[in-house]
Amino acid sequence: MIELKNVTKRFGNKIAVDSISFKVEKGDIVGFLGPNAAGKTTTMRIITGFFPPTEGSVKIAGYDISKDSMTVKEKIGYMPENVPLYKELTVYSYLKFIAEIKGVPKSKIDGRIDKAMEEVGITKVKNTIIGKLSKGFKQRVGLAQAIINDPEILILDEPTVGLDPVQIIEIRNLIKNMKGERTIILSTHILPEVSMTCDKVIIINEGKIIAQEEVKNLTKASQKGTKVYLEVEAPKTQFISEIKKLKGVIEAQEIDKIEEGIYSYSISMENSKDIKDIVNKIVKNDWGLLELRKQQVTLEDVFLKLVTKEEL
Amino acid sequence: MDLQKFLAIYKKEWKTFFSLPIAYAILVVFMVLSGYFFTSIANYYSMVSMRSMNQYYRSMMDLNIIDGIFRPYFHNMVVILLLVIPLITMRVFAEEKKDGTAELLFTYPVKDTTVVLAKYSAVMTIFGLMLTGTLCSMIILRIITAYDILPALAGILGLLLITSAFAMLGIFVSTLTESQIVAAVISFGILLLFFVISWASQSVGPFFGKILKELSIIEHFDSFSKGLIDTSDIIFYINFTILFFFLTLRILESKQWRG
Repeated sequence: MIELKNVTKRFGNKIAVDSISFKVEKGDIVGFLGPNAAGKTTTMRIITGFFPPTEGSVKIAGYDISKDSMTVKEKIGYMPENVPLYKELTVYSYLKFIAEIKGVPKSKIDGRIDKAMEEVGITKVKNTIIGKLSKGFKQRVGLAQAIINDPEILILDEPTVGLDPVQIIEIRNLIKNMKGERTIILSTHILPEVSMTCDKVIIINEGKIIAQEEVKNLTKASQKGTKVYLEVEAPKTQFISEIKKLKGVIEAQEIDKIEEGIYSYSISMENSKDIKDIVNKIVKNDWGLLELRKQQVTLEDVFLKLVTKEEL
Repeated sequence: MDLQKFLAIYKKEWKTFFSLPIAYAILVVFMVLSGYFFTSIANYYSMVSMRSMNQYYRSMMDLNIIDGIFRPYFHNMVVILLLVIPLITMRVFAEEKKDGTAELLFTYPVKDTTVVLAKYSAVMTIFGLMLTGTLCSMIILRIITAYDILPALAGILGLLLITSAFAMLGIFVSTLTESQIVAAVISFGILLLFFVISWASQSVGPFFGKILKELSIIEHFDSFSKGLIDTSDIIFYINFTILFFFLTLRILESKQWRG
């Protein structure tokens, strides 16, 4: 559905996007993840046809964006960051303007407006002036303008930024409900958002793609075996050497000193079944076990690891 | 060009303009000033013609309504337009850029040409509305006294042409900056320069003097205010408009604007 090949964008000497390539299949929700100024917005602006790439090609539904820009633009619904709207207009007249400019046939305009307002839940503010709406409602109007012509592709730049927690959940649900019918790319720097809404994630940093993977695979791949966090009252060196002798333990190291004689440790092991051996060992030696928990590898760890190139 | 998209932008410009208080301020100021100018010039003219009737063999031959009323009136109107047009065109693109709405506008399936034409047409319609005040004054005068209205209509045509040139230049300047005030100041400056450029024509020799005179936006207006329609003057204003129309398109395409 969306295919980028070696796309580069330069602003003067500054490279904003550096030779990125990726493919998005029909019906996917793809999360575009990266720290601020990583090149997410630039990539989205290229896909939406706001500006052309310096090098490389972009194909949307088989059409080349530089040759058939009008056809491509008709297939895309875009919501930029900060959702710029004409604040002097009422919600209805704004959406009518957007429907007309997007080329929705005259006979279908009213139906499309009603449907879009229904879908994002703004029917009751239909006649309110946009400038007087709350941030959450403005965001919904922004979504409504994106879907008004029923586009195959939705590009959402930071759709939940600046909203309160309740509104964030609402917007995420709206996006999730659109799943299946439409291909969606959304950018964010909030990690849980990706694991909650997306199937696939593309991690971008300093203009380059550093990972693209299914969300479930990404957390699995980085998680070799099991990791356990421990707080134990025991002589440090003896504890570490005893633990290392156990079958299935790959690595055992001290993290921090909690109190005199009490340390926290991190132990990685091949199999989570072997945790009981550690406990047995502690009990046998009459050491004091204060805390034991399994460490989940979250997307956050993966992200940080990839972005900062740190070992997990 | 798609008519539906053109009309959509045209109507939107129209709606946003009339939702702003500046619209009404400008309309009222313009109407009051042009009404005042017309009345005071007409009063003065009638006073002069009364006096020359008493001394009947004096300057009676030189008096006519076109030279006595419309010529000074139209010249005054051009000065008001010079002040008012930048105030209306300043927001056309500067506001879209500042609010970020330009980013959405240029991702919609609409050509830049359509956008610029629609915005230009909306601005022109606003001025068309303003000039109805002038038309009313002319009609009222026609009811009071019999005069040939056609030469006066040539003046209206001249005003429309000069407005078109001013407006397109204003729209062009509005693409250069995000600040509406800066856009207004720069357009006003450039317009004033085109207004007074012929003043220098005396001091630069006959060749350059002629060029400067031809460039002057007001020299070409003089024949219209006298009730004459000269095609070379019409072509001057149309060319002026087209030049800035294409410059506007170039700026909108440029990386700088979209960056």
